[in-house]
Amino acid sequence: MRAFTLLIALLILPFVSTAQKYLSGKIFEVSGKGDTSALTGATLHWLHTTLATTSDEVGSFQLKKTSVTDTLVISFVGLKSDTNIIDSSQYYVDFILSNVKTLQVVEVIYHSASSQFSFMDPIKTETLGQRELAKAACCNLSESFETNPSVDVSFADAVTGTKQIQMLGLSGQYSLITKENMPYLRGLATIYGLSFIPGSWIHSIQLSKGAGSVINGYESFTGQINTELQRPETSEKLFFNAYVNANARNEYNLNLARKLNDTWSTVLLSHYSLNPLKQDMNMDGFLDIPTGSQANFMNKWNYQTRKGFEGQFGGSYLNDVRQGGQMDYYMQHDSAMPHYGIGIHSEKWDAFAKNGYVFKKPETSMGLQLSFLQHRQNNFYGLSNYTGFQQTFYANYIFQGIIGNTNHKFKTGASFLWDDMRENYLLSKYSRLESVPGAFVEYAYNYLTKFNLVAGLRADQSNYYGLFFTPRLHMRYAFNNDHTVVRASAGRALKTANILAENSFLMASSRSLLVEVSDSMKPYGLNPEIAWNYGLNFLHKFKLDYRDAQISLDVYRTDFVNQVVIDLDHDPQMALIYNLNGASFSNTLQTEFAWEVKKRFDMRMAYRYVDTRTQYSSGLLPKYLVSVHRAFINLAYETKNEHWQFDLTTQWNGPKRLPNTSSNPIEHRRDPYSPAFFNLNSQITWKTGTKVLFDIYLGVENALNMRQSNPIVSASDPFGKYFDASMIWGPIYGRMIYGGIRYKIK
Amino acid sequence: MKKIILFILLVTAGYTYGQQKQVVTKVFKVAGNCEQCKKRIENAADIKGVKNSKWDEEKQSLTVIYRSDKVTEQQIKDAVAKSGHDAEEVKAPNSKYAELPDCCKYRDKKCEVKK
Repeated sequence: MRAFTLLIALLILPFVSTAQKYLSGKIFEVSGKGDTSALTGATLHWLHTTLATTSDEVGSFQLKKTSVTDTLVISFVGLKSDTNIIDSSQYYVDFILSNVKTLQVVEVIYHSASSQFSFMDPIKTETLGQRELAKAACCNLSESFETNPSVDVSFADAVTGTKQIQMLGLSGQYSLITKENMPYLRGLATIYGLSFIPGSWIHSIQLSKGAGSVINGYESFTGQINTELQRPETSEKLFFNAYVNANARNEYNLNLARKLNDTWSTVLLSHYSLNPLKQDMNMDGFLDIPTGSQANFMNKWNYQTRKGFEGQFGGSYLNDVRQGGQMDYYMQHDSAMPHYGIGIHSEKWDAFAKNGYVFKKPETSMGLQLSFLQHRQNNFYGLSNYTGFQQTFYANYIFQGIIGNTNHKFKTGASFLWDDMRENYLLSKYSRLESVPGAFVEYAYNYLTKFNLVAGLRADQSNYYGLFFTPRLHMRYAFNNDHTVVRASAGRALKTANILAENSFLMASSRSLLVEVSDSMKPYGLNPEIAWNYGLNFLHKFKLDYRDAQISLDVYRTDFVNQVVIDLDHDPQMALIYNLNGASFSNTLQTEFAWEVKKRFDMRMAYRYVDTRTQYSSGLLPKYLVSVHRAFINLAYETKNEHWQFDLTTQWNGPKRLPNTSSNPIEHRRDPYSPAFFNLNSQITWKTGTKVLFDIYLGVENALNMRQSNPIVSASDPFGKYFDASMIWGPIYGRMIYGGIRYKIK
Repeated sequence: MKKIILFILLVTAGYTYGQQKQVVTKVFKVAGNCEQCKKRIENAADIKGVKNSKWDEEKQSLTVIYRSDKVTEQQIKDAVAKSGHDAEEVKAPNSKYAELPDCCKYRDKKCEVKK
């Protein structure tokens, strides 16, 4: 009841209190050496008014805004005074006064926009923009992380060509992956879904580690990966991309954007890819990568009115077919089934709408997100069949405003998540209808640029798990003239384990899936997965040889209260699935150094340590297929004439623990640990044109031709007892050369 | 042989000693329009001896950090002007200005599309 009163109070408060509009910021001085320091005693006043203030001993100022003028005059004894136009939406601004008597606005931070500045945001967020995404030309969302040290990309199995990700030592299902902040890759799409978003559709990716915001739900354990697709108002009028690799995989993307008038704009994104050739480079009788094709379309409409209404709506359709297995397998099932085949068919469509209204009152707005998706999955692995059907409806209403002044902000709202899942695996049927209404409040406090705090709480009512609360807390403190930032976060997360969809790669083995049911009323008879995540990170910006450099250190711990454990150690012919009984955690430490070595030559180095352990039936063991140590270097260079661009990424992956196979006959056993290996990717791009842009790129993946030998256990007897294609720790195919073109009309 | 090495050592030592690392920061006006201009201006200023260059669209000014023993402010301005952008008193030649893409023609118009 008390919480409810608070909620009402928070909702009403902004309407009652009078709007105090202040502009705040900091004034710095640049010395002859190029060092910046806070400037005390500078005078600021609005042109032709008496509204004025002076900066304090740390250079900070706060000045009431006025409707009379937007021209701000800044003056300091001995320096030429200067004027600046301050936009009405601007509440924070930094000025640098240099001794050469010019004044420059160096950083303008629009607090009203959803933060893109990782340095300012209390939640550490890394934005992967177009330049970063172009470093890895192929092919979809999963590969977008190949130049990023925070997310691991690896093959899920040896036969389906599926790549999965890991974040903070835990696999992708523990990250909340959203498309434009709405759920997209949930449920059936957990594993294959990363290939459902083509690379050239992506405008940017926001990657935040640790507990996320309560606004986007309760399912983010290790972090949130949000994908923003090409926007109608900013993308090229025409974008065409063609790609082909040495394995004859070819891919085409065509994006068209059009601005109809001041209010309306639209974008059409399309993708087709084809993998026609059967190839077996490691000579185990199995296709390294399945053949198949994908067709993918999306249409999005944007509108923006002068009266404060804005929004977008649209829909997408995807059809993805893959055929793998033994080289000699033919799609016609004959009764004898002499060969092992794999077929994966995904069909998915969705419709979405986002509508917002911006009030005249500063930083006050409301928005409604709606999405509906349907996914059909039809797979077979040898003699096993797996089919799935999913419908998800999601609604999220957000109201945001300020309490008194812009130092105190809040967001509140309500959400509804509805999942209809029906699956068949072998002879078992699983179905569930999960509906979760919820409400949330988030409060944000800013003290200049020095200290920020975001505290959120959400309450959700699940028809399976009852009422549960999700608290999240983020803090940020900056010192040393804002050059050093320390952040801390903590939060709780909960989700239903989709045991079949998340572990579908295990179906490419002779393992029988055995679920130890604890409560038959719950999905799959298992408890929800619940964990706490704590994080601490440190970021320091400095100049090295007069150019920007940055070091960071991240420490995160994910501590499971309950986890659905997939135990592959108990018996190599079995996958035991049960509720955690004991401890399960993941500790990670990551340190990174980035530096602009020369103008246009960037370097990024990272090292990561992961300690992920789970209580299995055979003891508290490191999680399988996770490298304890990993090192990473990325070098990027662009020539002065901007025509040539070079990228090189090297990764060293330490040994990974493999599931126990000691009870198998000796020829079907695997070492307890995989060897360490290097992976090297490189790409060269040549660009030309101003209005019509043309790029050609040529690259190589796995340049060192490193390959996991003998990836499939008992490949010669796929219907036998020991067959297992899920023990994948390294690349399946060797060196792969690719090339492509991009053609853009602005 | 020893003498030659000693000689080389002395000469190089004298050379490095005599060469005082004079790193200076200068700010001067450079005209331009957009992100594309920013890249062009900063790259143009990146000549031998320049440590870093940052162009500010709002203030229409370029901050350069360079070694004054290797390059002069005048040389940097000349290099920037050669790319088509007026660098304070050094005006860009009309031929170079004409080569700029439409959205960068700062003498004729301001950029319409703000990021």
